Amino acid sequence: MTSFVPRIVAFCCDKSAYVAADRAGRLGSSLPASLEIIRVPCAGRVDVIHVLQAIEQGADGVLVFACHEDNCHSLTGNRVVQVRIDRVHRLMEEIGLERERLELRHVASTNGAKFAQIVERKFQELETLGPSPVR
Amino acid sequence: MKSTNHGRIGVVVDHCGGALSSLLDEDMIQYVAGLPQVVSCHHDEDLLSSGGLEKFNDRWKETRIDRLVIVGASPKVYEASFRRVRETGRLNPYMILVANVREQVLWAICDTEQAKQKAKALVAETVRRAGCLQPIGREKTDVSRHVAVIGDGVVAMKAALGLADAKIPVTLVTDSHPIGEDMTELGHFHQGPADPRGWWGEMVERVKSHPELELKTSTDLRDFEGSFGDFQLTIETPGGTLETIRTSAVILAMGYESAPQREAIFGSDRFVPLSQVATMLETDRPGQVDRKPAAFRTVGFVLDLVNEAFPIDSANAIRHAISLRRDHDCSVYVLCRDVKVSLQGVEAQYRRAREVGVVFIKYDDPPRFSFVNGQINMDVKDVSSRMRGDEYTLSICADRVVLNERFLSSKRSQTLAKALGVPLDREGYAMVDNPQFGPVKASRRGVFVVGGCRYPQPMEEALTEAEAAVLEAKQLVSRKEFGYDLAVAEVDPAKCALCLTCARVCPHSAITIDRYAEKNIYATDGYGREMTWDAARVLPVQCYGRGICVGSCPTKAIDLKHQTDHEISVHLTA
Repeated sequence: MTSFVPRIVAFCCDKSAYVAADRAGRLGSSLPASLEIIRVPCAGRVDVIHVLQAIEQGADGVLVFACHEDNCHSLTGNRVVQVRIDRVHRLMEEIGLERERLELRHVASTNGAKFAQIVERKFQELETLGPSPVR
Repeated sequence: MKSTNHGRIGVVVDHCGGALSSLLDEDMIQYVAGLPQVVSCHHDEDLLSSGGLEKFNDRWKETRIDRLVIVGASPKVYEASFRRVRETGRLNPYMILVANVREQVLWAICDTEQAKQKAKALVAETVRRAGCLQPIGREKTDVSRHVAVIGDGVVAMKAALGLADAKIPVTLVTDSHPIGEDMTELGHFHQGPADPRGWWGEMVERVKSHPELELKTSTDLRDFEGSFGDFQLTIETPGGTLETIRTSAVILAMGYESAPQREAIFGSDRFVPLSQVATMLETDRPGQVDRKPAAFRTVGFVLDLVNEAFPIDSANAIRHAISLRRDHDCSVYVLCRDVKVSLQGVEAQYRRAREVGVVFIKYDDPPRFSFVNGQINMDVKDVSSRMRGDEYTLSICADRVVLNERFLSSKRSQTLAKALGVPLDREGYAMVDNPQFGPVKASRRGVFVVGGCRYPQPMEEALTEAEAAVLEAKQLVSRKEFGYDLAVAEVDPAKCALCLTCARVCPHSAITIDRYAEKNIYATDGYGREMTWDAARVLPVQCYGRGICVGSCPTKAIDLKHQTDHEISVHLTA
């Protein structure tokens, strides 16, 4: 087993995921040290270019967190970002990047444990997948 | 790319009452103080309880820092105190970043060594990001002392009168005429006033004669623009002329509608809509010798085929059931999925109903109707029987079957809501921004939504909402000015291709189109000199700074002042 430590970039929306990330530690869950959290006012702030930049800069996996469906604090943010993630997935397929390296997930602000669980699962998945070919 | 090598960064290390001390050893402090652009590094035992950042003002003056990094807990913990920073004048609150080493490092990472390395990396990255911060100013807008209320029912009248009584000039706009003619709403009370018609009449009189209230009937809403404090409401008066009302806030106070359940009725008058039972009972009082009680000996109420979520039908049915049983000596059955007793006094009424002999039957599968010997036969599977292991169908022959009417959102309300920028839910009811924390506020600043157009509610609840909206509106328009930070999106008009995506995607209706761009990069050479172009423009008062528009713009003509694309780029670049 190599000592590959997956680097994960997580875009966390201010109203749900960022608060959940704060809560994760308090609730007894842990986050990997290689997790980079980028706080955004709303998931809808995240554009295709930001996800691509993250991948370009060597992130092995990118997670975009948003409020639950129908629950976006800004009504439309989580829906518009879904469209952009789908677009990046198509691009990734074209250039031969595994689609598991980018995922949109929904969390509520109270669910620190779920946030940690999602990150942990992605971490394990990436350990199997290996470092990003972009690196 | 813009250089990030500028700025004199001050660092405040918050020990959070000792919680971070294990992380903030000599090595860490030296590392932090030695980062590029850091010119001063101070410590605080516990920033929040020790009164905040003001005490560092003099030290900052000496070292001439222009931006600050706090190494401590989550930024969410400090943000409320940042506003005071602006008041002391030393530092712009948007020139402060927080390295979240407590919640997201110390508490989240088990291995101490890893946590230390991570903390160093996080502080270094935050310091780097601080280099591209820009100060963000604060503006004020005048607030005109005027509110508009749209609606014609008692909720609209109550809201308008509440404002007028507080000496706030109000214009009540409605497309009906005259006001208060349609009294259907009186049936929507659960526990109404003692003399509903008198109460109603008095309200209409007050509306017509109040000095601070301008009444506009037979008036349609044609357009709605602007921002809180300066809205332009365009209306069409009965003569056909267009008029613009300038107002600070708008309250939408429309009701809901109801329609009889057509499917079960079979065109028979033995099916009675719930709203007409009161009339039926009124015209058939006990003690009138001519009346033949045999006209209806057995009455069945069938609820929850529609409006399952609303308690008001349950409350009304129980009330009528008691009356029929006690005063008219009828056999009464109430068929429902659940007996909803959540309105005041209904639990006691339900008990009384049972005591006088009303039979309640709970069902899962909807009852089936058929005609037997001129009566209506209801076949219903009693749920309680199923639970005991038996399952049998009851057949009840009734002379009258009462069905509740289906509540519907009104088309007029939907049209008005759309014109005001208020989103609708799947059933067409107007949605407020946050039912928990702002039950009457729409997602568009300065717009309020109350009453049945939000969801079918008993009249008392709708009237309480009207009071809430009055309080909110009073608070907003009582000050002459409204201050707001320019932490908003901003369009570079030269780059705008007028695709309208930002205006459509903004949930707060904060983006408008104006002719104000002096140039446009899509213009071919030689064309468009001395011309002003249309471009999207963000209304800063209305903007909540979410950035959905920024993420949507195909030409990157719009950016977010407090988190620019450049800043995200810097964050992502190691």
